[in-house]
Amino acid sequence: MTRKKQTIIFLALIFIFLFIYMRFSGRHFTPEAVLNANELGLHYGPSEKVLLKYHGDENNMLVIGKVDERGLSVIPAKRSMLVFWKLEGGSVPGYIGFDYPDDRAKANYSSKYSLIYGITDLDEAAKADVEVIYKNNNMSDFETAGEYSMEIDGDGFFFCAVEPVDNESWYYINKTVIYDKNGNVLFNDIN
Amino acid sequence: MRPLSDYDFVNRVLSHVKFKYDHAEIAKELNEHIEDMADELMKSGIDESKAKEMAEGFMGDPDEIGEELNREHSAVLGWVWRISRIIVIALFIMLMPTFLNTGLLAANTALNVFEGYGENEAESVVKTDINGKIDDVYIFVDEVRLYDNGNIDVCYRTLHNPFGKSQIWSFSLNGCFKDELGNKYYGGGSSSAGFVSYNISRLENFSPEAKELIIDYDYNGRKLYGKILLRGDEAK
Repeated sequence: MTRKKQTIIFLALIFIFLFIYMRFSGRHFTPEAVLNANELGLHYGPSEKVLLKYHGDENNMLVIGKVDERGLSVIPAKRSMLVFWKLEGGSVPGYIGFDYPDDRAKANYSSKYSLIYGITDLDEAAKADVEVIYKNNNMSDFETAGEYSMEIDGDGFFFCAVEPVDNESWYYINKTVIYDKNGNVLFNDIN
Repeated sequence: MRPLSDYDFVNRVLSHVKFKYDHAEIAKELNEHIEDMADELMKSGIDESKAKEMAEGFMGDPDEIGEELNREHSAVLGWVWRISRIIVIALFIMLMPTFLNTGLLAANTALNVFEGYGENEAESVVKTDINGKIDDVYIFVDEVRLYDNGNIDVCYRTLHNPFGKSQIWSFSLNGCFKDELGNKYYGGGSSSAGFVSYNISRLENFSPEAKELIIDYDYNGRKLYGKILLRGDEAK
């Protein structure tokens, strides 16, 4: 076989191997592609836009997309072999939407990234206050970890990085309050 | 650096070939050619050193031959060939776990197809032709098995398009079952891994008054709907 033919075969094999690797091991070139692939795999979306790519460290990232006015797409991504990104193992939030038809906002907490994030469909919404509570095996009841105030952007999205009390406790959102620019309460949800 | 040949002719030819990784192969071929010719000359009585000298002379102009070989052994193609060969070998070794995993998945799929839903111990079976596509997943509801104790098994296959855009997650119809009387059934059961998966959703205590099983999957704009007549004269 001539060298030219061998080279063509090698180049074809490189393409095939890379395709198999990327397709069957869930690798992608960007974190956004990881988001899109998992939205389809979990049968929701696709997201209208990516709202936030929040770095845990340089090799992992929480990708948050806006599915619609009432729901977010939250997928953790992790760098792989320097140039690829893939779904990070562990808990995958996926679709985070309003719990009930009357709800006008939803906030959630990521323990791995120590991040509060949420969305509201109220057009006048300007600010969100969120209370986070926590509990561990040494505690008899939940206690407040902190109350956080954050701005709401034009997509109704809000987020805030927090400093956790410790790494052994479980953290939850206890209260979400949405205000307009004048400080009037538009929505109040206590869990 | 030690020359690749004892023959000046060969070394002069090689001086024109820019892609040095082919020098050893070219030198070997030219050396053999000269020595074959020298052997023939020695058979006619010429001594060895004279025979080799004559054989070298019969080979032709080393500069002309060198230039021609340089064109044939293109440095660009040579480098692409060499690098792509290394990449293929490296990729093959590196991706061995992925290949094995994919192979196992394919083997599991073949096993699933062979075994199907497993042994059927139901009192009666109703065949259905409900099917649909949710993103990259094709769903085929094949049959419903009815048991005397009021339980029913919904047997359906899912086929994940291996060349689709989605990450492969398992798919389940659990939570999508109801009857025409409005009773809802969650379902729990078994499924097999693989590109083709055989799933069984066990619905317990299906209402004896209900005649129809309804599959109503409606999730984020994805829908799959179908009715299966389980009892009555028209039930299959």
